[in-house]
Amino acid sequence: MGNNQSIIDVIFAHLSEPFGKSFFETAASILATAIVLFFTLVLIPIQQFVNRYSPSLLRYFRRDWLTISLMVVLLVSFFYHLILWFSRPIYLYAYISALLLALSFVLIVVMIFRVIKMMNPSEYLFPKIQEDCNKILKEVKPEELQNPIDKLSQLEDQMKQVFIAGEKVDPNERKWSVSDVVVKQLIEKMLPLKSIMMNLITTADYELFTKAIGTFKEISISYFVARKEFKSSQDSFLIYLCETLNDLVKTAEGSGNVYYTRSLFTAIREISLSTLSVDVIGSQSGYNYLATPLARIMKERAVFGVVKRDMDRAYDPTLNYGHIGCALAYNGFGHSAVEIAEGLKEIATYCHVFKDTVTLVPVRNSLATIFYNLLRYPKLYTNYDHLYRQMIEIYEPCLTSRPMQEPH
Amino acid sequence: MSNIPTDAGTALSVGDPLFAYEANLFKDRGLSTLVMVGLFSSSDDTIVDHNLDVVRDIVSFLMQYHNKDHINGKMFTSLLYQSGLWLLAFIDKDIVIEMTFSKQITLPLTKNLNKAKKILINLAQYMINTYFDCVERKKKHFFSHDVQSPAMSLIYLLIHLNKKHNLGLAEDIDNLFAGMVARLSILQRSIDETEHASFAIFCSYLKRMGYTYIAEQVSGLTDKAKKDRGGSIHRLYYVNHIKRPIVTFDSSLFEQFDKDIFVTPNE
Repeated sequence: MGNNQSIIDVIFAHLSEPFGKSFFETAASILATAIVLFFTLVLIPIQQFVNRYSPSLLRYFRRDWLTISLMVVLLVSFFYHLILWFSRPIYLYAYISALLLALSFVLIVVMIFRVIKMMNPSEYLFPKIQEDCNKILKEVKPEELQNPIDKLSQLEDQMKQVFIAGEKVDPNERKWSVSDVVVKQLIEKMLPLKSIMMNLITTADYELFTKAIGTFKEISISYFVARKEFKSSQDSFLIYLCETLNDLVKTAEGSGNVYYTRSLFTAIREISLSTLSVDVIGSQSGYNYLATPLARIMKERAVFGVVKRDMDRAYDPTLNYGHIGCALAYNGFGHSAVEIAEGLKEIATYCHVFKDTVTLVPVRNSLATIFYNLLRYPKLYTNYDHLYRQMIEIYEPCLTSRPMQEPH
Repeated sequence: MSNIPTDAGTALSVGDPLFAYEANLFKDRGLSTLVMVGLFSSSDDTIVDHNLDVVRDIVSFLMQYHNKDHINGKMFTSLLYQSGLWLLAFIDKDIVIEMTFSKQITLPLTKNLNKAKKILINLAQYMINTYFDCVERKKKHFFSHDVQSPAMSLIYLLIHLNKKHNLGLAEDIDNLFAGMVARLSILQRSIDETEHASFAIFCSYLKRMGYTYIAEQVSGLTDKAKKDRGGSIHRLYYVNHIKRPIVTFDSSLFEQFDKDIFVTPNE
């Protein structure tokens, strides 16, 4: 016991001994250099993102908790040493100082790794945008109709119901449409993604573009999952999606790399398919008012590709457009599936005129599968026969306009 | 056949589901498979009722475009015959399991059965008329042999299954015979040795089934219509008496049909 007491006394006496000031001066100058280095490191990704993409992305760096905590530790260390300049230092302070110095160097190394991560948007920025959007989507709640615009939208939807017998929705239904505030917030968060993608198309950074469109797709799918029980077929987010994707496709068509448009068409297809589970008005009567506007983008681009004799860019949208039609028919959206079949017929007409036999392959396969699915997975609607008659009508010109081998 | 669309790499020829078929039933999206799914996809009588209208439209579509060109002539003959087989399966609960791989049978309403029978009889009538139109050179896009084989097979199966499973088609079959005799009696052109031999086998079967009067009439008229062109009988048309289905499934049923229809009890 006596021995222990004496060791503590010795240590305490040692720690209380005075220590030279020059050490702290050196440490403070080292830390000042470290802080400068730290700021330089942080500025690299910030400058890159602001210059290349959008200043709105600064908010993600501003609230990076790791960077902030590292900065705080460095500043605390620095100010600690500054304070020691004006006091009588002892050995204890020297040990604490050494520890802080070592920690600062470790933090600089950590920051280097963090900066490497920040430099790659797919690892840092995209997950953060997605996280933000998911937070907004968690706030999607059934709400009473608030403003006159909402009321008007409901009235238009009710007009649709007049044509859809047997599918009446209570006008006082709480889950009618997603609040405009939520949609605005969501669009605001997604806007930088559009800027980034536009930029990536011009800089031919295909790999990063794939990640960006993947994030965009995931957020869009999450939105439709969140609005699963909302009845309104009018959706301002859907309009935003259509416009954005249309802009992106048009920009991507100007690029020499066909993979940009391919990624976009795949994303459009997957977003469209995610709408099939939404119990929107008309879904019980063979209509899907959410998938068809997105699918229409692909039809337009397919026709454009055929007319331009750009087979790659005509084939992909046609194939994906057909997939949507097949899925609609499989899931009991007969009328919307036939609408897609009509679109395929239009593409086939252009293919025939411009002698594009390659694009005709997915057209004809999809038409057959749509017809097959309509019969294989039947669902009774009020005008059940109509869509089958339409399918036969679509088959007729397709059969008569079959491309023939040119005589040798 | 020079106009088969065979653009390299496009699969617009044999793989085109709008006019061709895939031998694998589960991958096939051809018109005859649409007939099959229309008939067997649902056990709901209302849906079946509506689907029968669709089936009728598909069969009419096949008939309408059958004589469009050589490709349709060849392909649609097979599709029409296959559609006839699916319709037979639909009205005959004793063969439906073997024809469709279905695990369960849902008996259709009498109303739906009659609707299907009407489509089937119209189809058989069309096949017979088409054969005679070929002989008369009114339809030029297919060979009369190619149409005779499925047409006769359908009639064999109708007679056989009607008797074995009591399908209630006796009157319709009589009408088919009457139509056949009427067309034979006004035939302007001759039939060849192979067609004549087919009719001879058919007549012997009719006699065994008790249609002696019809058999004698048909036999007499075909003898009259036969013109000796110095050719020989195409043995290929007798490999399988009853034409096989175009899709892959257990062929033992058709072997049994061949045995039941063409092997006499004392053989």
